[in-house]
Amino acid sequence: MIDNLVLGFQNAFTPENLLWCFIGVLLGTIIGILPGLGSSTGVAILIPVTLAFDPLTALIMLAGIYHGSQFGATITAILIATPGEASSVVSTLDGYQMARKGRAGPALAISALGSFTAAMISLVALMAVAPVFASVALTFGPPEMLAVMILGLSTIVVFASRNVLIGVAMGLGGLLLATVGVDVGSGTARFAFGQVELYSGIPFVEVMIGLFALGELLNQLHQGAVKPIRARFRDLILTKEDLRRSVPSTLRGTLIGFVVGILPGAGSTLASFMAYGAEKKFSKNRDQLGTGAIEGVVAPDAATNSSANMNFVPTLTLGVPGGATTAVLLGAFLMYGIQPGPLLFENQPGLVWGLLVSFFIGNVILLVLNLPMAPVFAQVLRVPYSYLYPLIIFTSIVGAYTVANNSFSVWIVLIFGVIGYAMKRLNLPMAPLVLGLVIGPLLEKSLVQTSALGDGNIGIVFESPIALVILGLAVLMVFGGRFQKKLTQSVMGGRKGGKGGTRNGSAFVTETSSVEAVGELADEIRADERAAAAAARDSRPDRRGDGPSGRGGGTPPPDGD
Amino acid sequence: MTATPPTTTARAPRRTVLIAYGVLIAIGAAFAVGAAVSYPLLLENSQVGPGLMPLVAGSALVLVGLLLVRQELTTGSVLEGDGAAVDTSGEDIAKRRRTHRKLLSVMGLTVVAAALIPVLGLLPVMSMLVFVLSVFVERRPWWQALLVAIAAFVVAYVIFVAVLMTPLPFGIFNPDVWSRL
Repeated sequence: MIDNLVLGFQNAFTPENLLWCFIGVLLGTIIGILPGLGSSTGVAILIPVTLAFDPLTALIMLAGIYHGSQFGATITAILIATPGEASSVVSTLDGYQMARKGRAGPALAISALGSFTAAMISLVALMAVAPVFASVALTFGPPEMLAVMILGLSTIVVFASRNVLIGVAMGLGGLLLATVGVDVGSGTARFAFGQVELYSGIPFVEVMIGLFALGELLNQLHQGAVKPIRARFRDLILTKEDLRRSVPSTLRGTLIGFVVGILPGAGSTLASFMAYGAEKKFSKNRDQLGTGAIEGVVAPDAATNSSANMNFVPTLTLGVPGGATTAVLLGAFLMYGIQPGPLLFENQPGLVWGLLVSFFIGNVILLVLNLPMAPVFAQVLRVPYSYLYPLIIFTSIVGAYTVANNSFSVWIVLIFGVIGYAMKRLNLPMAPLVLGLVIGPLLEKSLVQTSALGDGNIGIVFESPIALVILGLAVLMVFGGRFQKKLTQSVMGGRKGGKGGTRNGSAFVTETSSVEAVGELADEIRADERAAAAAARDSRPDRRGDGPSGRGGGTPPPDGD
Repeated sequence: MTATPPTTTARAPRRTVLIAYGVLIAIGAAFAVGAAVSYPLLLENSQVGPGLMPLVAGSALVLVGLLLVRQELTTGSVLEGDGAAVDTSGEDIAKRRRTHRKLLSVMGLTVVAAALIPVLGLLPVMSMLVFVLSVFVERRPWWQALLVAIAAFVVAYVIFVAVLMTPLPFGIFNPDVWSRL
C-alpha cells in the first residue's frame, strides 16, 4: 500500500499533471455552475481535447472535471435552486432556503467543507478497498462477470426511475444500441447497413455529447433563467454551531456515499437522496429540514462526494461503471487503450495509483479554490445564456468532430441531441440508457464466454457460488423493496397515508430503508425543489431578459448519475 | 417548466407518452426482427451467436413497451419519473409558439452548419453559427456577437490546430485550395 502510494505520488506530482489537475478542477467547477452542463457533459466534451495527452494526465484532468463539477452544481443548487447535477437536487431544498434567509455564504462554505471531509475519508477507503476488490475480482471468470453486469444493470434500472418499467425500457434501449457494430463473438457486423463508421459500434463519446450537452441545451431553451442570490466573501464564515451540527451529518453522508458508491450502477444521486432520508430519520434537528437546516446541505453533499469517489471501485476493478459520469470516464479509458478491470491494478499500477493520488490533490485544490472563491465563481451565472448556448453548440460539435475527425460524429451528436431533448421532455431517465450502452458489449462478451465455457450452456452461471450471491443481490435489489413494502403493509394494516405521512413519524422510519421509499423521497424532494424554484422565479419578477423563455417551475438537472 | 406534479390520481392517458412508448416498441421490434432474420442466434457449437442479444433485448423491449402502454391506458397514473411528459397545458400559446420557433431555428441552423462543414470548414462554419444564433435568434448586438464568435474561433484554433495539431477541415478557407488556383 505504502509503495503504491509513493508510486502514485511520484506519478501525480509532476508539474504537468498538477497543472492539468488544477485546470480540470477549475473547468469542472465552472462547468458544474453553467446551466445545462453537468459532469457527464463536461467530461464527454473535453475527452477530445485530452486525446493528445499522456493517458494519466488526461484521466487526471477528466477526474478533476468530475470532482469540480460536483461542487459547481451545488453552487447553483444553493444560489438559484437549480441543481447542476441530478445528485445536487437535494441540495436545493435546504441550501436554497438558507440562501433565502441570507445564509448563502455558510451554505456554500459548509458544502465545500463537508464535501472535502467526505472526499478525504472516502479516498482513504477507496485506496484500501479497491485493491482488495481487484484481487477478489481477479478470481472472477465469465460467469461471475456476467452476474456483475446484471447487478449493475439491475441497480441502475431500479434506482433511475420511480417506475421500474421505464428504467428497464431505457436500459434495454442502451443494450440494443450497443449491439450495433461488429459482434464480439463471431465478428459479424450487425445493423451497420454498410456504413464503415458503424462497424466499431455507435460512437460512445458522441452519443454522450448529444444526449447530455445538446439534449440538455435544447431543454434549457424551453426554460427560464433566474437571477442568483448574491453571496459575499465575508458571508462565508461559519459559526461554531454550524460546525457542531454538521459533523454527524457529514459522517452519516460519507458512510452512505461509501456504501452506495461501491454498487455498480448506483451513481451518486441515490446516495444524496438516501443521505437526506437518513437526516430526516436521525438528525437532532430533523424538524428544521426543508426550512434551511445546515444538515440538509452538508449530508447530501458529503454523500455525493463520497459516492463519486467510491464509484471508482466498480469502475476500476470490474470495468463496470458506478454511474453515468464514470461510464463516460470508462469510455475515455477505452479510448486511450486502457481496459479497466481487475488486471488494471497489476498491469498499470503507476496509472491507477497516480490517478487515485490525483483525487487527493484535486480535492485539496477544490477546497482552496472554492472556500474563498465560491461567490466569484457564482458570477459565471451572470453570463447571458444567449451567448452561452451558441458556445456550447460550438464546443460540442467541434469536440465531437475531433474524436474521429469526420462529420459522421457530428451527425451522431445532432441525432442524439434530439433524442436527449425528447427524453428530457418526457422525463425518461438517461442513466440506464448510457449504462446499457457501455455495459452492452461487456455483457455480451461475458455471455459469449460463459456459453463457450459451458459448451453452449449459460446455466453454468448458477454453478458459481460467487455469481449466485451477486445475482441474489440483483434480485434483492429489484424485488427487495416491494417485498418489504408488502410486509410492512400487512404488519401495519395498510400503507401509511401518502406524501405527508412519509415525511415524519413512523411511516417514514419504516419506509426509508426500502427502494420504494427512496423513490418516494425523491418525488417529494423534486416536488419541493420545483416549489422552491417556482418561488425563486415568482419572488423576482425582474427575470433576466437575456434568458430563454422564462416560465415558472424548476430546471431539471442534467441526468448525471 | 411546469412538470406534472407527483400524484397518484388517475387521469386520461397522455398522447405524447403513448407515442413515446410506441416508438420504444417499434425500436425493440425492429432490432428483434432484424436479428432473427439476419443473424444466427447460436453458433455451430451452440455458443451465443450474434443474433441472440438483439433478439432477446428487442423482444424484451417490445414486452416492456406493451406493459407501459397498458399501464398508461388502465391507470393513466402520473407518478414522477413514469415517463410523465412535461405538462404544457397551462402555458401561454404565443409563448409556446415562440419557444417552438426558437428551438426549430436553433436545431435547423445547427443542421445547416453541420452540412456546410465540408464546404466552409469546421471552425469557420461553427463560428458563423455562433454569430448567426446570437444576432438573428437572440437579437444580441452584432458587434458583441462578432467578438464572441471570433474569440471562439481563436480559442478553438489555438487548442485544436496550433497545440493539438488536429487536422480539421477548412473547406474553401484552406490555403492549399487557393495556392492550387
